[in-house]
Amino acid sequence: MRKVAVASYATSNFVRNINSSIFELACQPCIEILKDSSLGREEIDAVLFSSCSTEQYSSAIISEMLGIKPKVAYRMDNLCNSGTNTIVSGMSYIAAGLCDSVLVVGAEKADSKANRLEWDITRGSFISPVYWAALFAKAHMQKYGTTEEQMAMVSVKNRNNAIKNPSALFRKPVTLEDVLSSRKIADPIKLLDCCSTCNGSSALLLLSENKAKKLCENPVWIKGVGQRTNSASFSKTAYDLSSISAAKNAARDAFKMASLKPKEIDIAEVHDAFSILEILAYEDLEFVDKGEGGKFVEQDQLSINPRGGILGCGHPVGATGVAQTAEIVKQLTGNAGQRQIKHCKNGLVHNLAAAGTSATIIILGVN
Amino acid sequence: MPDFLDFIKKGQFRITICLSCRKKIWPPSSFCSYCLSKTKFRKIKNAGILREYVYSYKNVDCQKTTFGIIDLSGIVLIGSICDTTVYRGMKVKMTSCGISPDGKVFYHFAPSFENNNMNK
Ligand SMILES: [Zn+2]
Repeated sequence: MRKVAVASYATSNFVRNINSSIFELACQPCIEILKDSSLGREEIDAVLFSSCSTEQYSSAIISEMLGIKPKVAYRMDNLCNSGTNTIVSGMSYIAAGLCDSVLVVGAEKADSKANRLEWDITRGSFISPVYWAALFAKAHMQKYGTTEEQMAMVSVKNRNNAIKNPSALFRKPVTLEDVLSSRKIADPIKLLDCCSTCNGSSALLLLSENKAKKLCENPVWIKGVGQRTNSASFSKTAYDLSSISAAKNAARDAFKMASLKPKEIDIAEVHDAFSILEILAYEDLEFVDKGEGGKFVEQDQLSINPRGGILGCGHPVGATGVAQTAEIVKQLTGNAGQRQIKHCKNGLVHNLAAAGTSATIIILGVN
Repeated sequence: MPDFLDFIKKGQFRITICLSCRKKIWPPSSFCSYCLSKTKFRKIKNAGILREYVYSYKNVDCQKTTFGIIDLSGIVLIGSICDTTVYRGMKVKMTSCGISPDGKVFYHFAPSFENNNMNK
């Protein structure tokens, strides 16, 4: 298998309101990458678009708008997991020798239907994601003694991290008291335990080893990936709410492929659409023992979700996985400015979709 | 073959059962996800067990709604419970189902008092 590098990245501002089309939104970070790169547009072999937008032929449209004639162009939709899935697909083309350069772009409008899986009638009238998240939270509290304060601390940390991220949706700090006293949605989840959908886009340029060594000063390498799709309906995950098994098993695959252990990860972007999900991620990624996730938050976990996570940045669904990966690359190349985490060599991206029925883990490193 | 929604519109809860291996297929499908044989819609017992529950504050009709994961004769779904004094392992029964005016499928449950030991 050939090595694959992330050569460059760009992320738009994540905002509540926007006038541009999904195509213009998607092109925005791509233009930034193409202008900065010495790679000619005629050298781009694939344009893969991650979005839950239902616009037809979108990847070909984006390619035409950007003046690219790729061999391969298509859109991928996997709800919140779309971006990370698309990166793994792009990587696969290069690893297999079918492509040398792949442009991966994720974009979503705030009014996208991506935040509800209407097909899943097993959720009854409780179709919004906050309901399954509340059930996970309640079960974790009951089984492991996790507290509402510990969940609130995740929101406080990530919202505070987002202050240092100019493209984040939320740039004002929140206190523990703010989170705990915010409106109850579904016990124990309150308004500030929840992310917010928004408009946003992010893009990455993936290159083969030969191309990366020629064109790129500090390539970051994709060292390991893991993906699992256990089901689509909540009914199949509801039997065990103590962990998200798709993430746990995907992480084991990714660590094995990267020949790394959880303790060797210096920095991570984990899926925190609801604060409880970050606590579950600590455990599923084996950063801590099962049940210890709540206590782990109490230690100062600055190196988890340094861009502000989904809670701080907002959640343009198709862009999220790409933006998470862009942040890890930014950190590993020492370009994260005032939010730079020192001495990081290996980073991890953790992403989920639809009640944790599917998950993707990507491990990146500087050598 | 009729659709799940055709039944639920009439207030009837049906799931599919495989005609070959007899497994319950939920959410319903015209074929079995285990052996890929054809399925048929069937009634199931309306007695269930509440596995986990949460109070929701979003519903506009009442201040506090209880909803939870209900194990209904071997299948799992999220339903609302018309009671706020509930506990894990409580026996419940489906009292109604249908499609609400906003187009959402709903499953309503009530405690099944005759079977519950209220001392837990
Ligand atoms: Zn069968």
